[in-house]
Amino acid sequence: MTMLLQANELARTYTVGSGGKLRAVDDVSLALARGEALALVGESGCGKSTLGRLLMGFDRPDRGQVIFEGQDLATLSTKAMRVLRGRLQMVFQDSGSAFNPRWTIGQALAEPFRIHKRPWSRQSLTALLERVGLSPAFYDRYPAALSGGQRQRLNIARAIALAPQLIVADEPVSALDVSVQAQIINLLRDLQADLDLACLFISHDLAVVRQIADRMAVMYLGGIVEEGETLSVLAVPFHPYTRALVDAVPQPGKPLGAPLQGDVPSPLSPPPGCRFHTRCPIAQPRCAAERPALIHVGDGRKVACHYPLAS
Amino acid sequence: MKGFLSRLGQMLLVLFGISVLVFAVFFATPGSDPSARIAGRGASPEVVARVRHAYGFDRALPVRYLTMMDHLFISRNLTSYVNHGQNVVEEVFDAAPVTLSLVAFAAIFWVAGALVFGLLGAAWQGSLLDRLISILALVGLSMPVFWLGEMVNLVSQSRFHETWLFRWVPPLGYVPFTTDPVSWAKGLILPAMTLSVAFIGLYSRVLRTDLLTAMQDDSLRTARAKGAGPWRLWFAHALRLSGLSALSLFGLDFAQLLGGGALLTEVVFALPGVGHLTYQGLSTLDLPLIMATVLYAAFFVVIANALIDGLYRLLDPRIGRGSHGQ
Amino acid sequence: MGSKALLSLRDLRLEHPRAGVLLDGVSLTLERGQILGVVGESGSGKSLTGLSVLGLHPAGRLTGTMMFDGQDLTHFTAREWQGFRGRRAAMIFQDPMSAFLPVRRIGAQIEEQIRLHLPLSRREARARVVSLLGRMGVPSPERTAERYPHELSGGLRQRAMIAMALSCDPELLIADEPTTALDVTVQAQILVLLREIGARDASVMLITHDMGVVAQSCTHVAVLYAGVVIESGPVEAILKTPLHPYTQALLRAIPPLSGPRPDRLPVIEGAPPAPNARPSGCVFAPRCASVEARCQMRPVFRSRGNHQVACVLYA
Repeated sequence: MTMLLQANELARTYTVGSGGKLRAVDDVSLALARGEALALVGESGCGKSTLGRLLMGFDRPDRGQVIFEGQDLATLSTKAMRVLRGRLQMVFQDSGSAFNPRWTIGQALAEPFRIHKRPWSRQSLTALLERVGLSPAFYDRYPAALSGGQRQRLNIARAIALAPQLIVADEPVSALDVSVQAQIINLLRDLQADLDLACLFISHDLAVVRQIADRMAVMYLGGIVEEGETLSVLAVPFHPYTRALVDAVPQPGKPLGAPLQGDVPSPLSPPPGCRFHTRCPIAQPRCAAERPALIHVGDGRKVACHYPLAS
Repeated sequence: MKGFLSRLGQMLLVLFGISVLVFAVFFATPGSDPSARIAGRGASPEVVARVRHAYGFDRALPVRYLTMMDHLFISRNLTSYVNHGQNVVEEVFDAAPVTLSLVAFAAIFWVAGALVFGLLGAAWQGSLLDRLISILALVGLSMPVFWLGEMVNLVSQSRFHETWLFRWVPPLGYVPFTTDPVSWAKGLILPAMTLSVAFIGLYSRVLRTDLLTAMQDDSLRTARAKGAGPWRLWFAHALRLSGLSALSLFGLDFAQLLGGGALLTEVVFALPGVGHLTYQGLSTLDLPLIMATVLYAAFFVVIANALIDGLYRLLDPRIGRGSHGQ
Repeated sequence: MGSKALLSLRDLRLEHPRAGVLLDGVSLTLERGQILGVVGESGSGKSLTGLSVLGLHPAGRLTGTMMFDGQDLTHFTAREWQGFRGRRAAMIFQDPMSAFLPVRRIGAQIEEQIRLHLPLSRREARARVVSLLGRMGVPSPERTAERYPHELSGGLRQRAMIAMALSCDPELLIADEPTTALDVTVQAQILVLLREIGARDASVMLITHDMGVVAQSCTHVAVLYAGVVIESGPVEAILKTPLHPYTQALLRAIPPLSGPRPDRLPVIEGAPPAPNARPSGCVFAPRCASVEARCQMRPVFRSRGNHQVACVLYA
């Protein structure tokens, strides 16, 4: 199977204020097939958003390559990159600030067509509105007339306007209320199936990820610690960090387990060996010395742990 | 240490840039040829040529620039083109304490005034008092300082000088602190007040807005939830938060005034300060004097920036230190 | 643990001159030793309810009663409020970064509250700060007290915030979305801490949008919708047999973390009404699946078993 998007051994280090080196993404390889929904999961500072930007070509990796449909993003000219942008779209968390308040919703929707010099008509744009569950009556109104959920629908409409092959959605529902969140999750799933759209979701919410993604990759301090089919990973996590994440999700009918102790270490000075060993409940001396590689453990699952659970 | 060195480099660069600019503009100004002026009115071409050669004005511009910088900074004997033999470096150093005294006095008035009016306006936001203060501030801001100075002089020096209110006002001019501290202070009170009026107007408005913004801050809500009373809210919390932005504005204005920005006040009140000197240099097109005063001013602005940065670091712990927050 | 209520709000209404009716009938009871979850979506008035208990709500016409340990808070003077806030009831907020004053050390900020209310010397207050931070699970409390808010991690900041709130032994702790800004693993730590506090130090009002948080940490729950408490009762009872259609729908809309994955999540169509456009009848009627003619009238909030519910289905 040819992959739509492939990342090979990506690394990105930022130099911060006082000369410190922040390894935001450290040796990450990832592949996304056509029409597949993959979720990047992790806590703040794990590098999931940086990885998202690298995959979108918004930021260049220090090492490694990003290959979209066989083309290395680093080798593309500015012009070729702009053409590619039409096929790679992004949906952000804060849908409120994503729109110019002085443009009507119709104007906002026409913008991607203008930028990429594609034809559009009022009919095609109202059809787009209806596609995401918005009334065509919104066409001549302003974004201020929309509620949070409706704005996120409009955001999605704009992202799918040019019929892209891939959408990267950074926390697309985390700013929404539960009842509205469910609507948007359903919408994203429908669109994905109908348009054969590949999606990369960046999220911290496992319950949302379970509902929305076929596969998931769990990140901790810049690296992927576990990867696999979403339902299988969440049902039987192999990595102790994934286990801790699953246990920490507050859900009705599930008692509050003993939480992971301490905080995520600063990415400026990550611990040696396994990045997680400082908080790991089952850490062994080996974990502090040797960094585990992400290896296949069968069934499409990968884990980076010397002592994986349930195996 | 690294920060200090980079600051020093930055300062040298700024001073170099400004001096080159002043130099270039001067020689590009029509009628500014110093030889003719030095030679005097109606001098013969031969005399002018001799002067030109004696002063080195026939040499290449870069050489002349370097010579001037040498005289200004290294041998420190740069002399005026207008008053022959007058050492401009000494003049600037004589004028500096006058300006410093005036501006320091004014700063006291202006900070105190801004605090009082800013806090009153913010605490009684929207009230009659607030509106009155805002009108007064506007009036203060829009009164030209030279006109105000002349009015103050008119009232305090001649018209009402003999009344109880103004009998203490000494004649115009400056008495050095070392000669007589009391006369020094007396002589500066009215000029400093005049100078501070516009700044009180501006700063009280800025502070009022900043205070009201600070009152909406999450940390002020916490302070209320802690049970803090109104005094504590305004002084310990809101002022502490909003003072920071006013501080950087203050630093720049203060430096600018020290560097000669109080020119009009100094001229009106006959104070022999740096501004007065700049005025004199400009009106006689005396390049050495202009160069010395302009570089002096630039020096202060750069120094003040560095000082404010340091103070900021002291008052706002979020800046400059290693942090591992977001 | 007496059965007399520590806090009892009866039909609390807050009308803002411009924004409209922000609270439209909030009735809830918090007994000593309980952890009451106040749950609702954004704009439901859950945060405002918490702020009102401290008299920190935006200016507007507040009616109804707020009884705290036998005193009616609605008649408090500014001075009385000052002595009440931080002393008898304290509050923590969603974002502990912005809730602290950024330019003062953590220890000094906690000390400020102690010295506002208790006759302690600086040294005694200082010692109390350190012991409080230690009790909240802050490692090396002496050093943490000397830190500025931005130098701490989110979890530690929230622990420090809780330490400050508990510094004068209040009877009630109001926690407004205390874990929303935190990572999940840190959220779990804070929830465990809040549960300990509820059992040991103070009654807790936990304001949240997350039914999962309520389910894991609270003993009781009040569900708010559009400024109205529509259902309340013990947590297990509400989770097991939610009565109000809104509570039922809200619980269904949570994506499950185990079991079969539904093709589509059940949704509540539409969005909550704006404060200036609330229906005069049942506030949930426009989105309710079991709406009927009687819903034109505002239903009474009445007891049914150990629940209280405002819905005509149970009249």
